[in-house]
Amino acid sequence: MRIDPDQMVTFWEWLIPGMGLLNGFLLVVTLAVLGFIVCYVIAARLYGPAEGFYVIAEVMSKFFREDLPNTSLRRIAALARLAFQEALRRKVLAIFAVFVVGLMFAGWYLDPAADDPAKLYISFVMTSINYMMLLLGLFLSSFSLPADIKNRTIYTIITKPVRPTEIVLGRVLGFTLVGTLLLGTMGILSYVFVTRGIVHYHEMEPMEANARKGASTYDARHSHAVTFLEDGTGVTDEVKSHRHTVSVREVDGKKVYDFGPPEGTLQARIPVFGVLRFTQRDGSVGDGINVGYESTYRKYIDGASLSSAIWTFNNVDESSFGDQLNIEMTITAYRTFKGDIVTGVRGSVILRSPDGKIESERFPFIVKEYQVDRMEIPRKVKDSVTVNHKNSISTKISFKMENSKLLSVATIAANTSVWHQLTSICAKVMRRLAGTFSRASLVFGSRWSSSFASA
Amino acid sequence: MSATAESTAAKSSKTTSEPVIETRNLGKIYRDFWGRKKVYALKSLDIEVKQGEIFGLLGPNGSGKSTTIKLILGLLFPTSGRAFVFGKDSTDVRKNERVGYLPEESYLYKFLNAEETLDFYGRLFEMPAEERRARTEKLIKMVGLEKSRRRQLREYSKGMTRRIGLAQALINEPDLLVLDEPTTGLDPLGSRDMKDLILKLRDEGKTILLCSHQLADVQDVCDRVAILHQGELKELGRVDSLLKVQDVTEVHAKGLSDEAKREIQEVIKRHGGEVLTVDNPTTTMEELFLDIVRQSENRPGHRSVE
Ligand SMILES: Nc1ncnc2c1ncn2[C@@H]1O[C@H](COP(=O)(O)OP(=O)(O)O)[C@@H](O)[C@H]1O
Ligand SMILES: [Mg+2]
Repeated sequence: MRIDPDQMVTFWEWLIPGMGLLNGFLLVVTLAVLGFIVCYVIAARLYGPAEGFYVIAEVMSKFFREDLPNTSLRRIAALARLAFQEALRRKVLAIFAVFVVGLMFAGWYLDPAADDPAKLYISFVMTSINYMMLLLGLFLSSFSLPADIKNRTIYTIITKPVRPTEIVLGRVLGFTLVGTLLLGTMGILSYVFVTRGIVHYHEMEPMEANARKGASTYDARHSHAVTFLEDGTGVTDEVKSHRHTVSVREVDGKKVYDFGPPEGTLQARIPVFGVLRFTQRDGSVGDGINVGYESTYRKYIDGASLSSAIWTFNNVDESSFGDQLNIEMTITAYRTFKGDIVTGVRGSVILRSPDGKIESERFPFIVKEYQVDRMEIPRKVKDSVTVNHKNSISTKISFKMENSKLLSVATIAANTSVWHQLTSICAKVMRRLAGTFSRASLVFGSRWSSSFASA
Repeated sequence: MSATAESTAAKSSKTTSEPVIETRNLGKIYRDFWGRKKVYALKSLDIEVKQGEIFGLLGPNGSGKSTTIKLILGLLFPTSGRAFVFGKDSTDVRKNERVGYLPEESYLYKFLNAEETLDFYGRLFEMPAEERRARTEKLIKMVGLEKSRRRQLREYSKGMTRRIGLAQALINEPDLLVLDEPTTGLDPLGSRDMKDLILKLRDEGKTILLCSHQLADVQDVCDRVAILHQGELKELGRVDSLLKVQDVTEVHAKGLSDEAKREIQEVIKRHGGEVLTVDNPTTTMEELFLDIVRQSENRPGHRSVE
């Protein structure tokens, strides 16, 4: 699903209606209650159950009567400043250096031949930033204040008119500042890294004058087919999740083609979760096949039969997809017969209306094992049926094996009663820009994919 | 409003000479993690430190001097008794406005330099920037660290760390200065400077509580001392009177012949006196101190002289 900027959740939407504030508050309350219980247990051990309670109550009331009203923002700021200086001077920035070095070397190992390099790059920087920040938070918070107590530098603080609340808040604030700064810088660096990693240009391969179609040169491990439109500009096909636009100039009577930067790589997407069910060999509703020692969610369907996997998605409509429905799927084939293993296994996608009465034409594809299969289903499909995802609440997509070429093999398979060809239907693990795994893999487990991506 | 009320209270306390520090039956037992008793570091201490005096706590290592100081500053909770500073309980944070503390070892942030250190502690007193700068300047000059003001404290020698520690204790121009072994780590010259400074601060009207195991320090600067041993108060009084040996008469004379000396000795004998030495005896702090420690080891729990 494409996310337009106005569809994105803003900070304020997240904070109040999105429960961000409430969750934070609940977290604080939970921690406070836990802290209270721990303190009570200790106090009860030291002073006895009843006395311990009074001790805690005394401390609490002192906190509200004296500490809180006398807390000074300027002292908190001074302590935060100290925490900040400490973080910087204690070479916490080493973490930052690790990150930069990581980025430098990552370029070697991130495969630009991958299906969607942008996703790879983004998930790399996201996870590394996540872990870096985690490490930073861990180190700062677990070493700073305890070190103060251990080195007794806290003595010179406590003997100034400083309240415990201020010491804690000061640290929190200071480290938040350090974290934010580091996060910001790492974010900018990552952005540069990602964009530099994806940006590439092509040139035109020599072609006939006035030809409508051409091909680009092979750069960044791929090339595009280019189609020229009436107005003279060109567009490429989509390879590795991006296209280029091509403009044409005349220089000295010769045509010069200028490729634009890749488009469509850095687009936020959100996963759409569907429900998966299967039909069996005879077309009756049943379960998929588990070929053993596989994740229980990963199921296969039988080739050359009426087996199919049916995904049902809600909320697939025009507003979220525009003119075409983009499907991404990763399908693996499990062959039980060593026949022709070079020819790919074929399958097809059929779209079905929510009531199941109207079915679209078949969209055939060849299973690209371990790679993402992309399909673009146009708004209007043939078979005299227009699949109108405009007013539908749910659109069904069913997936069937074609038994054309593999029929004979399939027969053998059936005869020997071994599963011949099982195609797994998997929910592609889609990543949002935030780089988190979607729940799809947990819910359905499968790797067939059905993420709808935007054009 | 309350601040002015307090300061007038402070002024009136000066006139009535209400004790700046008062401990009542103050005791501390260090316990280990499981709450088991480990060390009886201080046993029912009762002292009063008056406005404008230099009070010394004297005792061998581990006698409970630092413990006493920490209890007075509220860094430790007493096991028994209470301590009052400016009439407030020792755990009251507000008293810190008027207190300066130089810890045993200067527990300062090693990653700050001298200026930043003073500036930071100034901020904790909510001083305006102007005042912080002026004080920092003055204190750095006063403790003689002008040359290394921009160096991080991690590069400082022990003596320099002591100096910056002292400057830090004076950042708020405290009425009460608590110094834990102020001269350790200082060279003889620095030690002399420190003592002069302590005397100067006393003359400015500040009250000073210091502890030391160096007898000379105490003898030189303190008005009154309390001698601690194994956590017990052994001796308390004015330094001059403590050091006076009551039944010995000192005669300072000059240019006496041997003949005359012999004659004087005879006169003493005639009056039933006993000649101890012919040159002038003065008991030093050292002697007194060693004497008390010896006695105390023989008879623990006993308070020697009153
Ligand atoms: N944190 C502590 N835990 C356990 N024992 C301590 C602790 N601090 C001091 N002590 C013990 O208390 C006694 C008094 O120590 P202290 O007051 O530091 O002596 P000093 O007179 O040398 O300053 C010593 O026996 C010491 O070992
Ligand atoms: Mg000590």
